[in-house]
Amino acid sequence: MQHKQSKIATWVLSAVLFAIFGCFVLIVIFQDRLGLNIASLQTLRTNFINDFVVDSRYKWLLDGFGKTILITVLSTTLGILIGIGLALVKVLEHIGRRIFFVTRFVNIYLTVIRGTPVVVQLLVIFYVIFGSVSVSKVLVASLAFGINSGAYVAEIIRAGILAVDRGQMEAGRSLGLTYRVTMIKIIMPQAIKNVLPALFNELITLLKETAVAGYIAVADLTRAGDLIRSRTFDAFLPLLAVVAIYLLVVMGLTQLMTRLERRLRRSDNR
Amino acid sequence: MKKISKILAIFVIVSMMLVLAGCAGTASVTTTTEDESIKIGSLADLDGKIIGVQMGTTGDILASDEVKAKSVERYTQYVDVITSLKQKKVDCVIMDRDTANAFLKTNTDLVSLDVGFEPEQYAVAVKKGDSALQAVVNEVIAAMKADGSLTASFKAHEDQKGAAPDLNTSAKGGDLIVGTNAGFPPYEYMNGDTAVGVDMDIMAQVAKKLDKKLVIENMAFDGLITALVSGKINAIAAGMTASDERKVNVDFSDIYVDALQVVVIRAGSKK
Repeated sequence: MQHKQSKIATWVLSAVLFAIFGCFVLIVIFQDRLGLNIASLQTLRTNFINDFVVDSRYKWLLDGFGKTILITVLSTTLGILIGIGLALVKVLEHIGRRIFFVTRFVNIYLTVIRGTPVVVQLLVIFYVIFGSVSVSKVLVASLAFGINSGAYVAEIIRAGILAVDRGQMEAGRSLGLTYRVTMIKIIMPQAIKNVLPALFNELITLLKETAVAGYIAVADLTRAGDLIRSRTFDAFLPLLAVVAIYLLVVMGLTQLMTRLERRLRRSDNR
Repeated sequence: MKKISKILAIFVIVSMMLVLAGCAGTASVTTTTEDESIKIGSLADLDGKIIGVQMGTTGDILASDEVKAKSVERYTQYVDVITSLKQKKVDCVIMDRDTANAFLKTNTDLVSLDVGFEPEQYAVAVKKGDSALQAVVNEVIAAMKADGSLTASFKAHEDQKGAAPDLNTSAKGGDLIVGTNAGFPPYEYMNGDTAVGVDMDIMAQVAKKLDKKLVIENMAFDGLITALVSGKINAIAAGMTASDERKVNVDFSDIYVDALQVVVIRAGSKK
């Protein structure tokens, strides 16, 4: 009963806020007809037209948004692939099986990548590793963010695998299944349940992290806001637009994540 | 055994990175004339090329509006743009002539071309309506032109080894906060950890005249006008062209130097 009441209250509040915002927008648009002569409102309307309508500048934001999403998706995919590989090596290390040199390499990789800022890694990959070739900057950025994300995803997946009760492995082995089969058929599915919310968080973090791609002149969403600012010298509206777009996407993803977690929890009868 | 394998692993990784860095370095140094497929000789040749610029500068506006470039790469500072040009990541750069010459001194594998862009003039920007500061700046500029100290300043900063200006730290009249974008020699560049240059010398004279302490705020070029309009800084001395678009938001002092946008290309790209 209380849950339903709070749900209705939320909807009513949202509708009221939306209506107030809508009235404000209408006032700004029709301020002449309403006989208003407030300087700040007029500046607001001029700035809005300069920032988004002139030269179809809103398109810069859309293109930037597209690039940001593209980089995020590519980096997350790469990050998960790298993370899985690294996590497996770390899990093997945990149970005592060390593959000569690979384990060492993985540990050094994790230390270096986690110990340096992602911006610096981006610059190193762009100016040093790809120093003599002309390569797509979106790919370079995705590679840099993917490598960085992989180091953190490795920890997430490793923790997820090790969080599965030891009893599961013991049960599987005592039923006569090999280590490999137990891992794949019994441990991994449960590990994935542990890991998915944290991976989703990583996706959201990556989306915001890509904002520094502008350091190598990638025309992402943040950079698009910079570009509008460099032409109109108005900071308020472009930055507000960029903030709003990031916020909406993150809120949408968080909503998805909550729904996902709810579905995953269905199989927990505790 | 463990310690040995650890040392071995670190050694291999470090040597791999050095090899990678070495390959990258040497490859970018040998820009031979034969394998250069980009050839630029005039304004028309800029069409369809990848142009590097610093965001918010006149070069950026020219590349975006007056040229049918394949793409315009907007970097935050000229060092990055020049590095990208040397590494063949961009085909050419549109930038101010004086700064181009300063960079060309240390980068002999680059050349500059005058493709006939409209000449421009630099001025100091003040907040709209700040006629008091504008008048003082104009006086200083006129005086420096008359007694030759402006030319002397250009000469002193020619090789980017000029001295820091007198910040007038003992002044009683408050602070004169000047915004700039160091990285634009000879107008402003870093000497150690202080911003020095022709623009700094001019503003030091203005500060002395106003009996104020000179405070230099170094920031990204495209953030300067926004900072001025919001009151974070009192003036902009950053080799800024007094363009009509900018005059909408700020007031400019008198012109203190004539300038020109040129195209910088790799030596092998010259037609």
